[in-house]
Amino acid sequence: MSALWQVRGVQAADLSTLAGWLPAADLETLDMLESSSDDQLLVAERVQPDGEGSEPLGCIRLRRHIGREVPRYWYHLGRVVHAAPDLGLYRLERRLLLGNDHTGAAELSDLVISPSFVDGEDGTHAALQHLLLSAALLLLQRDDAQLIASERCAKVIVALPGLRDPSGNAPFWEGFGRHFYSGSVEQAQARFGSLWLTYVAALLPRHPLVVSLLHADAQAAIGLIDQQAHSQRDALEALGLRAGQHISVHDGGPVYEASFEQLRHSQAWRLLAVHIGEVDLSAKRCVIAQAHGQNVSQLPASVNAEGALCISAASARRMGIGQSADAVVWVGI
Amino acid sequence: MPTARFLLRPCEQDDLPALERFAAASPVGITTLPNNRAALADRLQRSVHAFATEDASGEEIYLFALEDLISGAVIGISGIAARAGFSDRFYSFRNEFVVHRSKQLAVSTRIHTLHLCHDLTDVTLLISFHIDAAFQHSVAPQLLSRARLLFIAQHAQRFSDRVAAESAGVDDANGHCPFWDAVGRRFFGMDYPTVERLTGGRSKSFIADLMPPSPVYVPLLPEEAQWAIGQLHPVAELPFSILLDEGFDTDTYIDIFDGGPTVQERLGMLKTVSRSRCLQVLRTRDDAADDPAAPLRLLINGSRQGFRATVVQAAGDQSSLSLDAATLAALELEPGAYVRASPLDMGPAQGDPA
Repeated sequence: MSALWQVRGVQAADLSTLAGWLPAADLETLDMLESSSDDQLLVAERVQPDGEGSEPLGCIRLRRHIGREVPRYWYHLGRVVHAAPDLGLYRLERRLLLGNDHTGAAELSDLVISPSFVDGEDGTHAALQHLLLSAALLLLQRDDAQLIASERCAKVIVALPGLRDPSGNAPFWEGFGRHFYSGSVEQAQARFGSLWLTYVAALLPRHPLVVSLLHADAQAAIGLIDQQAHSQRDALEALGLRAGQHISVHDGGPVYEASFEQLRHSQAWRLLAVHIGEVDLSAKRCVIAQAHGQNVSQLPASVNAEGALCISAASARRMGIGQSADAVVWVGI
Repeated sequence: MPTARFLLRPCEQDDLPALERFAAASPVGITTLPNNRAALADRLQRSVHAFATEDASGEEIYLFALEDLISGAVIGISGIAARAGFSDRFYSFRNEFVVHRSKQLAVSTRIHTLHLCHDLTDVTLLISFHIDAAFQHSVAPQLLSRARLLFIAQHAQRFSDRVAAESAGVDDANGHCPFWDAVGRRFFGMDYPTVERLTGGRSKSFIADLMPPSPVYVPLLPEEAQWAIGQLHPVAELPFSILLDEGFDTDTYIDIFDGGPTVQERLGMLKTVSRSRCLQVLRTRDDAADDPAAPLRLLINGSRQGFRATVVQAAGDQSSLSLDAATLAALELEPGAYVRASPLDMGPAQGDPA
């Protein structure tokens, strides 16, 4: 059995498809030719019987060292206690503080599955999301290991979409941000892409905000994930990320995060030698990347007694891996 | 009005029933006059001591009684706290405006914020203004309020050179205060009268210590609370109008509990003080005709314990003015003595109760 899906870097031919998924402003800033760029867009495609790829099934954006050129903003969700023991008064308050706490981190964003994709024999939305997230994390870890310590990202973050009402509006924004920017969010997003968050942050409160002073709907939405992103949350948690202490300045959605150290412990991200041979087709599927490039495959593989990764000859051929003993791959098992 | 009709003097022990009457009529939040006989008696004793002592520490509270010289009744009271927050902090919200600008979004917004502050700690505080409704439209409230400023100026070493006054904010018919409900209640989970009872007369700073130190962004408050900021309770409109006329700054501070305005200004900048002069008093002849063109003047004698103040129409020049025998007696002055006098911008017709 060959891989049903694979992940690769975006190509010019993909842009017409992606234009319907992502704001034009976000695509304009993309450097597709530079695979070592700090800003990469990966697409998932179905592998055809002839080994060729297909139209993009989904995409994910991978950024490193975020906020180093243009500031990025999040709200830190902290706690503060107000107490008067002799009056029997005790209040634990949540508090928001606008800041740039995740500056320098890596970030996965723009996780989109094609609207035309339907769950079927070759997989589900959830599985495709899992693959895209796994592939991006694999590439991040591979490249991180090749950098000197001072150039490494300490952690990776993923901002999950916050709660929406039936009209598609974010209660957090309607009860909070709207008081400071009354313009159209949709128009700002369309015009500036993800940069709109940086631009709107200039209008948001800089002092700590006691949550209990916000509109009740905004309070209730803090840290909640929109129903449509629950599968993404599940995939992130399976990969070792957890909700941290930050939320989106737009919709109050949680920012999931993990340090690379945590990821190494929670997932079997390894550098392995390759052994080409017979592979049990029922073996667990692994995500596999070579030492360079943006291609990530998902295929059945197993680790033999010598600690090498066993893949089939067909898989090796498609990935361009020879029989040389020094062929190594990065593997997420 | 050639003869003094009203007289302001230090409160005495016998004024306790009058204080009780005014305290009972006080809306919630006028805590400088507790509606409690023992507490009022204590407050009165403190005031008597304050006027008498030669050793002022700044902790003093001075209470004044306004007498109708015709009926002999006490028709109003007012007071001065020598140092706001003495031995503790005096909290206010300071109005500030921050401008946020996003060049890319082509938006510039002016955001109203409230900053918890101690700016007014140690300033002299005007307190406890109460007057019988029948005299609200007479010259009496002018005397009751403004003579305090001359007293402060006359005994400046006992006071700050900056004066402030709190004014009661708005509440509804049930005593619910929209500003408290939107801000204070969030941190206490109880209404304001309950908090007042709970604190048992302790310093308000005790409550403020439980409030978040970070600014309150006004646009995030309910509209009703936003509207209440700087608004007056109806009972505060008259004393506030006098303070406004004096030239107090009314825009910078509000009360942290009900959002009512807290005014403040340098003493020397206030109208009554800046226009006051020390003049020698002469006695008019008994058969002298009234001079309808004579200006209305606010007069105080120079005494502390024997403080007396009144308002009369009195002719005079740059160094002296003429008073009739009854006014001299009311001020407990002999001809040749000196008064601190300040013109009062009111017509003589306003000298009588409505």
